[in-house]
Amino acid sequence: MKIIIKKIAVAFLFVMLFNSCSSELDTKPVVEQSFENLLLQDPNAAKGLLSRMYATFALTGSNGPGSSDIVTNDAGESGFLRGIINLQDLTTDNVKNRWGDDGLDQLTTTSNWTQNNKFFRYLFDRVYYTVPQTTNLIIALQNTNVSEKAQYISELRFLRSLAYYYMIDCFGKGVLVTTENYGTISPLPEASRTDLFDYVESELLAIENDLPFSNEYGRANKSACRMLLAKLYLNAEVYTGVSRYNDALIYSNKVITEGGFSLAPNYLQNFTADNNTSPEIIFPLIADALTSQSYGNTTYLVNASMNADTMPISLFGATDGWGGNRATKAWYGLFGDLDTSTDARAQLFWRAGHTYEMTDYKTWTNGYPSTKFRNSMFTGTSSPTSFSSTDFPMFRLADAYLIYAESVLRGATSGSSSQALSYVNELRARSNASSISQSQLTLDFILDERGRELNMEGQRRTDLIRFGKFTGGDYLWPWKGNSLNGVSIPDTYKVFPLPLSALDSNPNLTQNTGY
Amino acid sequence: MKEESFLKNIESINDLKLRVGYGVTGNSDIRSQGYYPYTALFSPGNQNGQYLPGVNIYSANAFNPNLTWEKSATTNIGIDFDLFKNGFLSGSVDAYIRKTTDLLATVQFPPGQFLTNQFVSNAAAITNKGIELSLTAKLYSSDDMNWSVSGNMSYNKGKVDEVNGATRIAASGGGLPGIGRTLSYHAIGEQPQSAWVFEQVYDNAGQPIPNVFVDRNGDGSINDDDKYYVALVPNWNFGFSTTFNYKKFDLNASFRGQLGGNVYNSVKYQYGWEQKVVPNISQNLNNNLNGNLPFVTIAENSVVSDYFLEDATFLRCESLSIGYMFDKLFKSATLRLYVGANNLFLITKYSGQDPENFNGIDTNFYPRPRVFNTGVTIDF
Repeated sequence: MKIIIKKIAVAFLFVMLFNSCSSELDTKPVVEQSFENLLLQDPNAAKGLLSRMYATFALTGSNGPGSSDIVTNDAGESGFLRGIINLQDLTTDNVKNRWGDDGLDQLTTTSNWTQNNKFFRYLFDRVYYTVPQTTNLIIALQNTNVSEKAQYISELRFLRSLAYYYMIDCFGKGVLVTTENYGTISPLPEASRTDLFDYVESELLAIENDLPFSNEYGRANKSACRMLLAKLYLNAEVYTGVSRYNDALIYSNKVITEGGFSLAPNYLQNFTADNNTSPEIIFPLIADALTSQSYGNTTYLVNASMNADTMPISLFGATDGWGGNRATKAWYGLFGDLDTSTDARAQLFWRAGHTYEMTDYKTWTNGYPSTKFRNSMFTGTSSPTSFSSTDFPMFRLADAYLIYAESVLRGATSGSSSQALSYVNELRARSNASSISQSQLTLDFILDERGRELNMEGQRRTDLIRFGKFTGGDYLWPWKGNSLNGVSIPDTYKVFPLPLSALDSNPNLTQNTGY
Repeated sequence: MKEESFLKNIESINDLKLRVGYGVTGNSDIRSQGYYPYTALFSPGNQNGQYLPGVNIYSANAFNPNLTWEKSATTNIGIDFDLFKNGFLSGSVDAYIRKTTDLLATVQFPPGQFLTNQFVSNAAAITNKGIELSLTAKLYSSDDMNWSVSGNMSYNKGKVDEVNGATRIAASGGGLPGIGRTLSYHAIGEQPQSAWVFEQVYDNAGQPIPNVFVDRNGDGSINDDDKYYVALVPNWNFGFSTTFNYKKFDLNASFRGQLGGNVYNSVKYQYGWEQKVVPNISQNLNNNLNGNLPFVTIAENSVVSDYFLEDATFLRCESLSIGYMFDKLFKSATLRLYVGANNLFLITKYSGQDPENFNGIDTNFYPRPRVFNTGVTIDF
């Protein structure tokens, strides 16, 4: 009897083992599948993959705000847009962060930058997530018969160029991964700033004609491509040593005259939860409080500037005030006396309970938080949410106006100074600021106007470098160089250090001078 | 070997065996992925991870088509012995060389040449050499009294031979909590899982001077080139236990420990600095003030100072128990009363809670309990 029981038990055990084994082997991935199957199952899948590539700039991952496409110790703080704001605005005169995280403090105080700072690594790794992913999709699409594939590929090339733009601007070198060399296993050679510039320029020129003037909201159009070219040319002297102001003017002019965009009647319409209706935004990064959640999109821009301790944050559509970022007097000081300024842009600071001076950047009430980005509607109605529905105006017409004007002042010949003046005054009139005269329109004025118009939009560091005011001691702002009133910082700070992880994994990469 | 003619007649040798072995084992355990990611797959996003309106988002998952088994080739030579009268001394000695190639690890890929930044890869080759010794001595044996002691000791030293053309890769589990910094690496020529740290400079009173480190390469500036490697994993491990019976008393004890090895006191770096413990930062209620706060704040290089590395040598009393047996209590029933303790004591110079930590980084893990127990065992 015992033996029989044992035999049955053994047989049973075998059946159990065998069953579990075989069924495991039979299992086909339910959610993950090959490209061919995906296209068979969902005819719209190619567009879903394209959507994913646009999303790399706003979402940290496609499984909600806690997910991350790159391996990182904090999904939320690694987002691409958040990286742009952290590196382009926190490092400058316009906004300071008080959280005191290791790495973030160094950005806010423009001091002690090293290759170990995780915030440099985040942006670097985000660029080199978007670049191979878009390239991979370009290659995959080439072998399909998706009807819209030609335009999808052009858009993907735009997105790849946009990612590279931040490599050029922030790190000044990198590796050049292209459709042709993608798949190389051995580390690629280092690409210089000029190499990257030339590549991005050639890519954008190649797709300029293929992109439509008007595209679905959130997708790249011809003007987005031209804006990126204009920005590249405007900064060409910094990037390559060769100035291209004529080209900057030509391309900003194409955007202005051919793009079909117009200034929003009210400045604030570009920064509210319903800013998708603004006629001024050329290329947005989409955010949605429910369907497109990220701690790295405009949610960061809105929530980090909010704090229920001093502000009625629900008025601005927020439920979570992170209490991190405040503007400095180097920003709101550009408007003169805030009490008497008629400039609509001067009203976008929360002053009650806050001091004008920022004697301690770690104290929330030091400095005025910017309320420019908000999650309430332009009309003022507000249904507060944790995440923001405000889209990020990556490119907007006002910037094209200012690029035109600056290019004229820097000697571009194909434009006119009267047109430059009229563009600047259009912007000022829109915000109820006083008109200026031709003689008042100087380069210094342009830099200040860019601050008033574009601060917190990821542009300031690039602008200060182009005007020679980022490094050195000519222009000081609160906490520059980790000093209350600002001190000189070395010229090597015009580019960020490459992250150690990149140098370790690609021995062809060399560190930027000074780090 | 005992049967060999030259040993057969030696009475003090009861048994003697020589073992020589060679074997290769494979490992394909890729825990982090949950599947074997060798081919291109696409997965949908969730309801909060959409982007362009009206279209379902799909992601191209990272995959590595070149993945293969991790292989460990072990050459081993060992002797088992049983010596003297009544098996007074028995044990074994083993020496081995283990070469692990195609080590599976999550590593940083060359930027842009892969679908994401870090992924599992056959990333390194490591050689381990070591000796293991185990001994059991029956010190005394009679009807009334038995006393035996057994112990083991092992020495292992690893060396990283190769890391995919790079000079170092981050060791898994080698990240410091919260700050995105890697402490331990597999670096060529070093022991695996070595901490890459700055050499702290101290003042006359023995306090670390914040942000002052030894310029080890003498180039006049302090950067990562001045860091050096300190092995976290101990080379020596040992354990011993003893069993003692005298008439109806019995005593059992076991001990375990390591010689050398280092532990990174990350509790100290996370909480042990002034700005962290000042009361006006309300979110920092979990003060861990230990009276010695050399740093006002800790940033950048200070985090990876060897100041936070401490000798992890320890001896732990794993268990101790004393019992007494009442026999013939009731017919043939016996009753044993005992008292014992687990984790009774720990001898170490480490200033933190416990030097025995996962990956050599003390992250304030849940403490090992000290358990006291008493009991009665009745046998019929």
